[in-house]
Amino acid sequence: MNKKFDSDREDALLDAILGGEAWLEAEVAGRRAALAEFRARQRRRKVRLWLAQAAAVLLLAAGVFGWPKLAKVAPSAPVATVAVNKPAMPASIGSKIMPAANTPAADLAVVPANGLPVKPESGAAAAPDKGPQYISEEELLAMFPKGSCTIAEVNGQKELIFFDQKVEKEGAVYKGGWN
Amino acid sequence: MPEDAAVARLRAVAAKSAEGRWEEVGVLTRAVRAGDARAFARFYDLHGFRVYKHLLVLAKGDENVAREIFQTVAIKLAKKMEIFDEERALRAWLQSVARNAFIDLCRTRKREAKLVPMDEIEVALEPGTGSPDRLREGLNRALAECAPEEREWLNAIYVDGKSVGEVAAQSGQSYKALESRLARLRLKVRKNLLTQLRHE
Repeated sequence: MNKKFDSDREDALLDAILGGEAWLEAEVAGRRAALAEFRARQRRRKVRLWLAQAAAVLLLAAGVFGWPKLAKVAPSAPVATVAVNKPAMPASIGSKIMPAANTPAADLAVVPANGLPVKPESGAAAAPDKGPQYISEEELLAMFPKGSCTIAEVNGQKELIFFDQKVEKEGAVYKGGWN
Repeated sequence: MPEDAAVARLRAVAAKSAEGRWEEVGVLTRAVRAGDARAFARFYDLHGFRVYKHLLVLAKGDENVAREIFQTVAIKLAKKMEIFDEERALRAWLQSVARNAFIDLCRTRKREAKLVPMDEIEVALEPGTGSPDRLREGLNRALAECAPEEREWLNAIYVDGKSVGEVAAQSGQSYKALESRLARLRLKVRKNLLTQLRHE
């Protein structure tokens, strides 16, 4: 205890002896340099914080505004319903009908949960593609009473020609095989 | 602006209470580490001179070298502060920071061919007596060379905390005369002390 007391007393005298001009100069120069460095460190810290916040905001904005676009092309978008537009069964077939060779393929539309259409081949749960459904000329003719119509080529295109106007108005009788 | 005055008063109270908390080493070092400039200024006030004295011993009484390294140490402290809960650990760390800065300077000078032999550095850094002990021993030797009355004046003013006027009245001399004598006396003791450090 006494030793500590003595050393404290000696330190007070020592400080008075050494705390002259040399120390004051060193003190001022050191303080200035240290505070400049300290403030620079604070600035760097603020800039880092600001950059991190800006990056977070940008990511958030990208998430909010870019998500619908990303979802549109997302391969794993959940498929809620699969609607297959079969070729409409004609209630009555007009006097002119495209022959089997030119009949377009069945329209397949895959609708994901968000209501946006997705190409059928990209959907994981899309209905298996059976390919375009056609009927042959014979099948087409069989849909009408025998001898009531025929297929003829008019201007390079095959057309269904009816001999009887009444049959043409009544239309065809579908017996399956449209899909 | 009474509102401004109130805000200023509140700030002053907050600053004072923060400074009160900074008396604890743990709180102060944490505040400095967190980037509080006022805490750093307080830390500098509390520990700067101690570091400088240690550097003075390492630099063998060369005040220019001590000043140069002190600036480097101050910048190092501002760059990277460790957290300490004990004053003793903090002092030891400050000494090691000062010591490393001194070694760096010696190496730089060696590279620049302002030769400071490494064995000299090793002598300066030899373990055993710490810098406060060396300074105290040097001070005692320097004081021994002073006249007894001069030692009394120094002790009365700087150790016992008496005022210059009081001591001047007791010793039967004017305030100004004692003040100028004290200035010369301090200079003499300092020179003596630094010379001793140089020749250790």
